[in-house]
Formats: sequence, C-alpha cells, structure tokens
Amino acid sequence: MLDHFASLYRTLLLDKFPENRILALEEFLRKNEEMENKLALDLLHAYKIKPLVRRSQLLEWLLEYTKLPEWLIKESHDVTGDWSETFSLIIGNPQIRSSGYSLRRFLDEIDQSKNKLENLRTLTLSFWDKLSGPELFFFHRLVLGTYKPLLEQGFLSRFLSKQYRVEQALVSFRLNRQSLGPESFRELIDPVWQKTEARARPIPFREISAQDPESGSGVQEANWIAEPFVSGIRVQVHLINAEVHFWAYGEEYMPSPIEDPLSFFGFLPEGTVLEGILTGPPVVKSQVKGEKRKGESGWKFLAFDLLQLEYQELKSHSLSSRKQKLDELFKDPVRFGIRVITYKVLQNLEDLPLLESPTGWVLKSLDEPYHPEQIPWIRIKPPGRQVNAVLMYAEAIPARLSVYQCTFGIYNEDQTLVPVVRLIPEGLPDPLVTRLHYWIQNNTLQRFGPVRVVRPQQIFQIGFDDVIENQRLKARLTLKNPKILAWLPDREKSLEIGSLDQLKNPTDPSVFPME
Amino acid sequence: MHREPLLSFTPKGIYCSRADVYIDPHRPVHRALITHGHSDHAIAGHQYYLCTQLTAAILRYRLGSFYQIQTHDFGIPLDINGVRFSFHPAGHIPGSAQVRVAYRDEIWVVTGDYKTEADALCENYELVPCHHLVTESTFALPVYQWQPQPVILGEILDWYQKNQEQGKSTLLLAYALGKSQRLIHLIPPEIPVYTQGSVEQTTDILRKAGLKLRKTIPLSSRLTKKEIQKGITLTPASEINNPWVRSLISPVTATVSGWMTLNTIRKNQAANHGFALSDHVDWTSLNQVVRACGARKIWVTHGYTEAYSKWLKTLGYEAEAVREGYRFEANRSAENQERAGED
Repeated sequence: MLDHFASLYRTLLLDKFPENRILALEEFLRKNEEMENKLALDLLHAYKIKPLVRRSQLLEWLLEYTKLPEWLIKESHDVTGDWSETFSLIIGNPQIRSSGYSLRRFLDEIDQSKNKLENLRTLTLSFWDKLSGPELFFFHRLVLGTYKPLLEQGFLSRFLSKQYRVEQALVSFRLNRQSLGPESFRELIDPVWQKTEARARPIPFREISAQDPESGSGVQEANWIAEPFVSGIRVQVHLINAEVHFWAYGEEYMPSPIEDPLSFFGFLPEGTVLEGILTGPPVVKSQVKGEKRKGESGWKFLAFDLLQLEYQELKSHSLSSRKQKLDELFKDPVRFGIRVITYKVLQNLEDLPLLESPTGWVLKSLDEPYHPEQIPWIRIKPPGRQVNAVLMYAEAIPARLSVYQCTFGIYNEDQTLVPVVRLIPEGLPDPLVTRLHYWIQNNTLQRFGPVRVVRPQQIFQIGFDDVIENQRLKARLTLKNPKILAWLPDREKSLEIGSLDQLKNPTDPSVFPME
Repeated sequence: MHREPLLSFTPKGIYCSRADVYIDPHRPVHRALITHGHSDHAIAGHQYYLCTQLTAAILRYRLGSFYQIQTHDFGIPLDINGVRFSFHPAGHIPGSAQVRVAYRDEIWVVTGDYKTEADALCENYELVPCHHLVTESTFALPVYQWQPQPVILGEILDWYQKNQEQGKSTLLLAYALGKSQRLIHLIPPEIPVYTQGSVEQTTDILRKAGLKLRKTIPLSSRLTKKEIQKGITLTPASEINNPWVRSLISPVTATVSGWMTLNTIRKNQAANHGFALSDHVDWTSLNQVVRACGARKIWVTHGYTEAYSKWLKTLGYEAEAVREGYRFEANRSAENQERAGED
C-alpha cells in the first residue's frame, strides 16, 4: 500500500539507526503483497526519476489551490528548507491517514499523466485532495525529481539474505540486474541459482588478515611470494556470455564502475575469472565541484590471480601454476587503457606507477590452491605511527547517547593549534568515556550549536597508519586510519602536543613508531 | 479626546496602566497576572502574583513559597481600579488561562499560550469574544497543522509496543510541566510510567493542587532496569546525554513536541524518534480563533509575529507584530504624544 511505503520512506529518511531501518523494512515486507514488495525494493534501491514538473509550476498550482500568498509559502519554505516538505505540510490533510492507493496504481497514474502538463495538473490536484501527509511528501519528491533511492545495495542484499535465507551473492546479483532481473519478489528471494545466473556465481574469496611485522608468520621464505597490497576494491571479474560481471569482496555484486567493461576485458577468453584490485580514478578538483571528468576513465585493475579459464575452474591448482597461466593470458600487461599487472610484472616493481604507495604486502604460498576455507593470506602492514594531540572541540552526536565526537589538534608552525583528526572515543573504556563526558561539559569555553570549544588541556595518543596530504583541510593533511590509543590526563601540555612538522617528517623521534 | 489604549506593550511586558497591572511581565513588577507556569511567562521577582489555582501551585514550587501569590478562579470577574479582569481556560497546560480585560466598552483578551484541541486533562479552551486579541504565534505558519491527538497517541503506543517486542527501554522526552502530565494522562493505565526527578516533582505538585493524574513511579536506584524497560519513562530532553539514560537496557528515545513536524529538526535532534504533539495552537485553529473571536485588532506575540501579522493584514484585519521584549513601546509613546498634540 502507498501509505505503508510512504511511511517506510520517511523512516528510512529520518532514522539514523540501521537497526530501525531494518525493522521498518521488515515490517513493510511482511504487511504488503509480493508485487508491491518488489516494486518497493526497486524504488528504494535504484529508482531514478527526472523532474516531471518545475517547482515554480507546482507552486503556481498550490497558490491557486490553497489561496495563500506566495510570500507566505516562501516564508514556510525558509523554515522547512525543502520544497517537497513545504508543499506536503501546507496541503497537510491531517485528517487523512491513508489514500487507499496501491503503490503500483499510484505510480501508474503518475506515469499516465506525466507527458501532458494539463493531465499532471489534474492528477496533482486530485492527489492533494486524497493523499495523507507522508504520501504527499513522497508524491512531491517524485514529481519534483528530488526523489532519491535510500537503500544501498549492500544493506539491502544483506537484509534480504538474512531475512529470507538466500545467498547474499544471489540477491545482490538479482538486485543489480534491473531490467534483466526477476519480475516478482518471490523470484528475487528464490534461494536456487537459476541456470543463467549460476555461470556468473562468484568464487568465494580467500581472506586476507592483517598482521604486525613483529608478530612473525613462521613462513618458509622459499615457497612464498610477497605481493604489494594496494588500497582499492578487491574484486573478481567474470567474463561470461559476453558480459563482464564484477564481484566485490564479501561476494557483493558490483554494477560495473567502468563505462564499457567489454572494451577492457573483452579480449579475454569466455569463462575467465580474474581476481585483483580495482583502483578508482583520483578525485580531482573538478569532480568535487560536480563536473564530470572527461577522457580516460582513470580506473586501473591489478590482476593477481586467475581462478577460472574457459569455464574450467583453477582454484584447486597451485598459485604458481595459476600465476603462470595469468602470465600467458596477458602478453602485454597494459591494454586498452586499463592496466593489468601480472605475476611477471611483479618482478619489476619500480615500473609500476600504480603501486607507488602500497599499504603493505600480502604473503602467499606458491604451492597452495585457492580455497576460502584455508587459513587467510597474511597481510604485513607497515609499522603504524602515533602522535600526541590535544582535544579542541567536542560535538554532540545526534542519537548517540553520552558520546561526543572529538576533534584533536596539534601545533602548526606558529605554535597555534590546528585540528588534524576527528574521532569518537570508542577505544576508551566506559568509565573513561563518562569521565570525558563530564570533563567536556564542565570545561566548555564556547558553544556553536552542537559543537563545544573546550579548554585545550586533555592530551590523547592518536595512532595512525600514514599521513595523507589534503588541501581542503586547515592542516593541509589528514591521518589515515586514526584511532585513540590512550588518554594522557594530567600531562604537561606544552611538552606533549605534537606538531605538523613532526607529522610530515616521520623520522622525527617525537612522532613515535607504535609500540 | 483620544483615549489611551487599555493595554500597552512595554519593556516589562503587557501593561494595563489604568489598573497598574502587568500580564506575564518579563521583568519584576509590582502586580502581575500570570497566564501559566512556564518560565517564559512566569518569572521570579514580582511583588504580587495573580493566577489560577494550579498555576499558583506551580509558581510556589518553581519560584519559592515566599512570594505573594493570590489565586483566582476561571470566569469570575475581578475589578481593579474599575478595570474588569477575568481568567478563561487556554487549554495549553493545566491551569493555563487567557486574561480578559474589560473597561467600559473595550475588551482585550491576552491568550498567553493556548491550544484549542481538547486533551482531556487541561480545562478546554474557551473562545472569548473581544475587540483586541493578543495572540501567540509559536506555530503560525501553514506548515504547522496538527494531526488529532488520538492519532499521535496511537503512534506513540505502537512505537512502545515495538520497543517491548525488541526488549528496549522506551523514553519519551517532554517538558516537565505540561507535556509530561498530558502524556501521563494519555498513556493507558496498564503501562507503568516512570518519571525523572523534575517530571515527578512537577506532577506531584499538580496532584496535590487537585489535578487528577494516574500513579507514576519515580525513577530511583531501587528499581531494576528490567522494570523500567517494561514501562515508559518520561524525562526532559536535557537529560538525554546523561549517563543514566545510557545505563538502561537498550534505551530508545523520542521527543514529543510540535517541532517534530519538521524533517530537518527531527533528523538532527539527539533523540531517535519524534512525535508531533503540541500544546500550542496550529495554523488552522489559530485562524479559526481570530475569525471567531470577532476582534477588530490582532496583536501577534511569541513566534512568527511578522509573518502572521502580515497574513492577517492580507485578510483585512488590523494586525500588529509585537516584538520580543516589546521594544517598540518607544515608538508607540511617540505616536501617543503626537495624537495627544492633535487633540
């Protein structure tokens, strides 16, 4: 029913807790019919609509309908900040709880009227008489083109998989296949891989676990290789029936990030499955402003394993044999703008611009087959670093009880404090979190809405992996994977707080390697 | 000869010079008529207070018992220097009143805060015909249109039921005076209601003053968390960040306020949920009151004063926005002096 969907939409929009979103979705699917469920999931997951009517036109109709002056509606908009909400609240209909429309009928009526303005006007006026508040909000979002899907694919596939006991990969695959996907909700949650689907089924990923260099792995060096570990999306690329499918780690189907993936991977034999790392195009200034990056897609693929060739599974083969086949497959490591880096290339790492900053190394045994149930490959992380930073700001987090998000700062060149990292003190034990809570409340110097400026007295040890340059931040840098290691109360402030120079210069002894 | 208006808006509050009485003054004065016990209407420091019985109980609790607080019943006229004053139910919170001020053929009504929807706890709002209406405008924009109380109550109880099924503790965040008592009255008797200190104290004061309210259980260390989880806990919103809230079993919170109508406020608040239940008049009812009271001039205070007075002018009413602190009194005095000169 439309009213159920409209209130679900509102919950998903306003509720910050994943748990509540899940419950709302669960309730909706339980209450509604199968066809409505499929439609609702499509709407929540991937529905995009262009504006059907200009806002000024809708405003004109509203002025006529309500007989209110335009300035009053604009005044109301200043309060809500959202035109869809303003229109819905002004029409109000507080006495109506449900229009009785089904979701399908509602969308069909919009679809039938969308091409002619006069028809859309008639439909809008009739909806204003019939729809309840949340239904009106949903309607206005649709016609104004401000409707956005609220559920991420990962969230939805995890939810459906758990709720209906279907393999997550299968749900994820079906959800992404839009026009080619299943017609009904029942088909969507059918736990059996259909023949056409089964060929693109992902091979379960073998895990990689992080390990500190000092802990020792006990490996026999002769039979092992170390591959560079690059930040990116770990994917399997399947070339099946002249289609390229991407499966991300966790068996999550990925819509192709590359515009025409066949032009990159089409040269591979049918039935090939590669595993590797997909690295996205760098974020450039023009993208931040919303402009599209032209020319080269910027995507790069580092292939490090071959799991299937011409529909023949290779995962029981040893890594050395799989690597060999991979080398044979890629005579030329760079093709069609996508960089494919193979085993052979690994031997000459200096030539690899992609691997400028590997975030570690993965140790693999050359004798081992590819089995997910085997002990994970070992990832050696570079040693972490740490710096002492002082608490500068604390921000109350909506819907998080008794927890402040803390901004920590260090000294810049002028010996003034600049913020470098913002963290929730989750690593601290509960009594310390409570103590910090009261300290913040009692030592607030100034308040800007939810943000408190506190006395710069409390020093924390912050651990991080690396320093990344970022021109958008005041400190011109940011910390990679930061976490609070310890709270150092009652320390001498001037002696303890780190500086930007120390961060930029890792050899400086005051930025300690992690103990 | 031009007659002085019966009420004027001074930096101290709404003033009746003929009777030398202020209504809801916001600075200490000699004699004050108080519409209700919220702190933006009833401050400490006046020499004499006049209000309804329930409001008096609240004032004694909030301000201290050493103040001279005199009570007066609804509907009974009281003459001060020839000006006739009377209290009429405002329906905002228990004991809240509108003040009718009459002198010869001129009647003014100061609404204070009010709501027209009956809530079965407060005395029902009474429409008082007048020539001058001084009305609040907290929610005087067309985006504020309340759903009926039973609908919101249904939503609150559904939410509580869901929380019970999931083993969560339910906390409603509401003003200690007014909204909390309304909720206590609305929540079915089979659901235990636990109250935070200030809510319990205010409720107890009102009970002792004669308001019939169901039994509530004050929060204390003697209660087990499991017991609290089974009921609904009422607490002011300021408590949300206090560690005792976090110590309950999976606490979930919801703010109960008219402001929860707006998505932005609801999304950015600290609580998990929001229910748009207000003790103020909404757009539709406000316009109905203005139409029905027959006033020829409307003075708009507290809230969207500029927008609402502009709207009333477009409808043909004589309307004026009364700014906070009534700073425009200087202009009015100048205007009166001019008029006196004309005379």
